[in-house]
Amino acid sequence: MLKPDMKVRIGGLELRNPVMAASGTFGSGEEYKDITDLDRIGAIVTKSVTLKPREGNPPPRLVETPSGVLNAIGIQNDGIDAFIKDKLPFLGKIKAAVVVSIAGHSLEDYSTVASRLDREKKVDAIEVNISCPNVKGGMEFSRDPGLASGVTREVKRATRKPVIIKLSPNVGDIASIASAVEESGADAVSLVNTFAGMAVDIESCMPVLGNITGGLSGPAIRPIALRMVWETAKKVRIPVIGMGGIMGPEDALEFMIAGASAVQVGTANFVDPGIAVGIVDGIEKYMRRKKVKRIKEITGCLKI
Amino acid sequence: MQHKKGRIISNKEVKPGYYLMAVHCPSVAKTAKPGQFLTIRCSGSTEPLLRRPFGFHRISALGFEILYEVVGKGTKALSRMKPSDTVDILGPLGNGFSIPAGKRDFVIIAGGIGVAPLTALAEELARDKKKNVSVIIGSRSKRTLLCREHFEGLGLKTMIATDDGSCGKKCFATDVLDEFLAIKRAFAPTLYACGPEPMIRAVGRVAKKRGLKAYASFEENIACGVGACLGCALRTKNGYKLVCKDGPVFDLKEIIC
Repeated sequence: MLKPDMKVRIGGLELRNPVMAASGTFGSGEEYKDITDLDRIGAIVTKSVTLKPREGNPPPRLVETPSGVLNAIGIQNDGIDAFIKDKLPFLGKIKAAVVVSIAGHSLEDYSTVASRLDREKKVDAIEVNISCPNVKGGMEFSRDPGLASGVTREVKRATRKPVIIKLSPNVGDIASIASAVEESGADAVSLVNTFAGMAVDIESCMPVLGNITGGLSGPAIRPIALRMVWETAKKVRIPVIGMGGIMGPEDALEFMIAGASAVQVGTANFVDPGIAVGIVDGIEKYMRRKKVKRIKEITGCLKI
Repeated sequence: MQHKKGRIISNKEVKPGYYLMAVHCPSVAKTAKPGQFLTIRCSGSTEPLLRRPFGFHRISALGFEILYEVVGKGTKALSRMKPSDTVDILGPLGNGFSIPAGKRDFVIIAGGIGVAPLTALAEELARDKKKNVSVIIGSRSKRTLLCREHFEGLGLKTMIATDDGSCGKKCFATDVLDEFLAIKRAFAPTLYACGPEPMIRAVGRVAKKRGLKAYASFEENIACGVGACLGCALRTKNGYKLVCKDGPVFDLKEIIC
């Protein structure tokens, strides 16, 4: 059998394979350059960047929970100017596509950052984080279809690059939010961001996290994330990028069979920095075994 | 920084609840410095999920040792591993202890399991015969006192403080430090500390009062270990710093003590 075709299209962006490193878990790629092959991953989604620098939340920011991680980083970043100056040059040297995640407090924040990135050749696409549970107002845009549409339109106006809207699972009907952003011009949706959660220290009777609540990721959320990806993929025509506790190729394939065109790997990078590459290899092996020529054939092949 | 497999040489309980593991892994050992750390994947499953961080306890040409206390699922799983098992290692990580050039006098202050990375430092300092190194170990009791023989074997003056008075003086390690510094006039050693945060902050106050240079190794929950997730933030006078990348060793003048 010929080498399986693993290329996927996300709007106008072509990825060498469907495996992406999720925002917030992979820094800006450079942190991992010695311990994984950045040329073999489909894309890297960088840590969310905002217009102005953000200090982040008070520690403790992170704690392990059963088969999961609860975090409340608070979008610590040095702002868009520093990102372009300090982080982008390295990203131009790798073969993985570069997706820059952006976050903001107002429509204007989002559009200013997007227009700044529109001028940068090294940026292949923009992921719009409207779903961070750990900053004040971070999730509001993804809770309401009207607000989510507003951000999408604003960012689309500010850039010609493909726009991916990252959705929150902390909503009643995630598929309806996806539909709303699709109608407003989103090129793709990625889901899910973390589930709002909490942990308590029973000795001190205090919350474990400095921010009191945090976002839950990891295998603990996988079945719920998978169900949300399935519901969303049924409803929209734009590509759905699935994520939530993917730890290996089998998990990635579950998401793709349920309707995802590509997947993102987040928490698993902490456990095994080489996991994204391992997932690419595992999917290829599966395609050979199942005699699947093109990865597109897997997306949404769920038999019901 | 490397992601490697190491082979366990030995893994023994040295005191109730405390284990010493020796790992064969030349490539990581070759680049490791005292004060740096590594992370180990303690299970092949999702429980526990994250890798666990350990300071290098001893470093040789062929491998390293870690000294750890069994406190949760990760260290429990690690304590069950057997010689010739392989471990998944990411390291060396972080900055390590810096040793100011031209200094002669050093005092190491260890609290509880915080002694673990300080032995590697003591070995490095003791290699230079011109250096005068003293050690203060604080522990709950004689039963949990670690590494005394190790420091004494290096020929270092070793003082003990225990909470219950079962060994050495019944006081805090920092009380012994205060007394020790008061004995000789114009004695201005460089201080190195690792242990519970209240102890580190007390060392910081002593250093400030006497105008001494002091370094301490800090602990936080670590996820990525490489400065990507920003989960291990420590508040410093210059804003948040990352324990995994900017630390784990910080100059105590940077820390609010």
